[in-house]
Amino acid sequence: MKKRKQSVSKEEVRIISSTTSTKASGEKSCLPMDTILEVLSRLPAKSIARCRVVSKDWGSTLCRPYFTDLFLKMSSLSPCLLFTFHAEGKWSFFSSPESMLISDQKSSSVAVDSLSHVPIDYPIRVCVPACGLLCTKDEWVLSRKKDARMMICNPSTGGFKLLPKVKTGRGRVMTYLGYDPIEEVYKVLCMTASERPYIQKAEQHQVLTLGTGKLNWRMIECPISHYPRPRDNEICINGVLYYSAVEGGSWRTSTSSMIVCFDIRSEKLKFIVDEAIKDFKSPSTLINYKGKLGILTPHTSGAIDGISIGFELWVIDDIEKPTLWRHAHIFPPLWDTLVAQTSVNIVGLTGDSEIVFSPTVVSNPFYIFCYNMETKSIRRVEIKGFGPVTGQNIYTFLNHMENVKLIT
Amino acid sequence: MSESNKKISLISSEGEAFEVSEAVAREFEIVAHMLEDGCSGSSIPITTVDSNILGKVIEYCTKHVEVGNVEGNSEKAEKDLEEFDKRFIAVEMNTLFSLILAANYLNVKGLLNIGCQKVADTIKDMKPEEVRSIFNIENDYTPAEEEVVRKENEWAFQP
Repeated sequence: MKKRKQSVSKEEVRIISSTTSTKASGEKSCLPMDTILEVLSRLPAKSIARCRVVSKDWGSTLCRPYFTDLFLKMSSLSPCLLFTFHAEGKWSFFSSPESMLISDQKSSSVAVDSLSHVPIDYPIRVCVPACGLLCTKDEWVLSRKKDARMMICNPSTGGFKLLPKVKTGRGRVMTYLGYDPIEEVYKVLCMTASERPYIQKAEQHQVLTLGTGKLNWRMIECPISHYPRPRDNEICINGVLYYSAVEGGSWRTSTSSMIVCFDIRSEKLKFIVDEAIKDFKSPSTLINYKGKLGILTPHTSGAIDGISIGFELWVIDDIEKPTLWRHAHIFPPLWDTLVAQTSVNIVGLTGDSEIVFSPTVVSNPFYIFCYNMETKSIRRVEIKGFGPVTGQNIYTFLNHMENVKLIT
Repeated sequence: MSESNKKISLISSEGEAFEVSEAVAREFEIVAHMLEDGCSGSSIPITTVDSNILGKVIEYCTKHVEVGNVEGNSEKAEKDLEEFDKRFIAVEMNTLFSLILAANYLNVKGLLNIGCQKVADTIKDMKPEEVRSIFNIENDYTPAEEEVVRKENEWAFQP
């Protein structure tokens, strides 16, 4: 290092260069391992799984935190669309880089890559993914099945882990998955809820931390009784999980709606209560709108289809003293022509201004719809590569990050 | 910018001198650091990079400095640069590796990035056997061990 820092005389240059043999033309160049890892961190997760077969050294290196962290850093720069559904005894995952959707606005089709799958013999519902991982929702389906359990899964490695059963009476269990980027920790928040006629409220809040050896549910305190709106999509931004809820209690008297903020690290719950939140229709989708919390809500409650009028985007400028602004969007006439009878949900925001809508069931051909809030135009994009399946409930997510960390 | 006209000679491993402007030389972060550390010499030996590769790296840096200096019409310039990068990196694997090694040593981040990305794009769909041959890696798994790892990652071998 010292040598290079000095200005070297011609003689010295000659001495150095004569000892540095130039490669014979037929000789293969080799890259040092750290440079190879730079290359591999730019691969899709599926290729990483194949590269584990290359050699013992690669097999172990590609599982180590140095590489998995590097990979996550690179993959967070190129988020993916993620599709998941249950069919033929498998919970399957498909992905495609979001850039394919954004870069070529005229593109009419995008091919998805099939990721791993998890063998499971009953249909599942899933939470919004957090930092590459997915968690199933428990709810009634699972509580009726004796051996069914909630699970965490990494679609980019095929790894999954069953979670311990949540003790509950006859009620419903609602789950959310969150990630804290500072401590690099995943937590599952679950609420058991009693559902007596006309009364609904979450009774117990429990938290489970992943990666701490034995998994167990811990009770946490919740200062305000509430009931999560089960059809709305949550979002995790910078270590805070946001979900929409209504005040707990009787349906008839329940008045206020709120957005609950669960801080993953401190496990404290905070509440954004505002008159306007009551106007949010179901199913709403919480989004990261240019770093702020945004809410996409249909014009009228229920699934959106060709005859729907439009949707609203709400943005919360300041969470501490909530100031909300809203922008209503009316679908252009082409919306009805393209969407027709397809029942779609709001997925979220891609790029700066495109809202993505995805059908709730798999069909062939399968189209997603993109509405550009700036140009007020609509386009549809065919998603190819699901295989010969149709009729399954499908979950579509944006901003999914591939993560090759193995679940421990 | 009084120094903008200053010329610096970069000397390849064969001893060949490449005269470049200081702005171009500063694209090599390693050179930029040397200059900041008070190295006043006008010729800098790059002993681990041969003339062929050094010439290419200089070509890359010169283009990026040129485009960086043009004001306005940034969208077109960006497109042009993208095209240039694409053409620049369309070389056979051995040259690509040498470019990556040089970019890594000289710390030319942009070149290192497009080089690594190009290799990644090339090997994305390859079988493990092909990846071994590209990186010159010996398979030290026994057939039985390899079978286990293949089985664990079976899903990744399906189309």
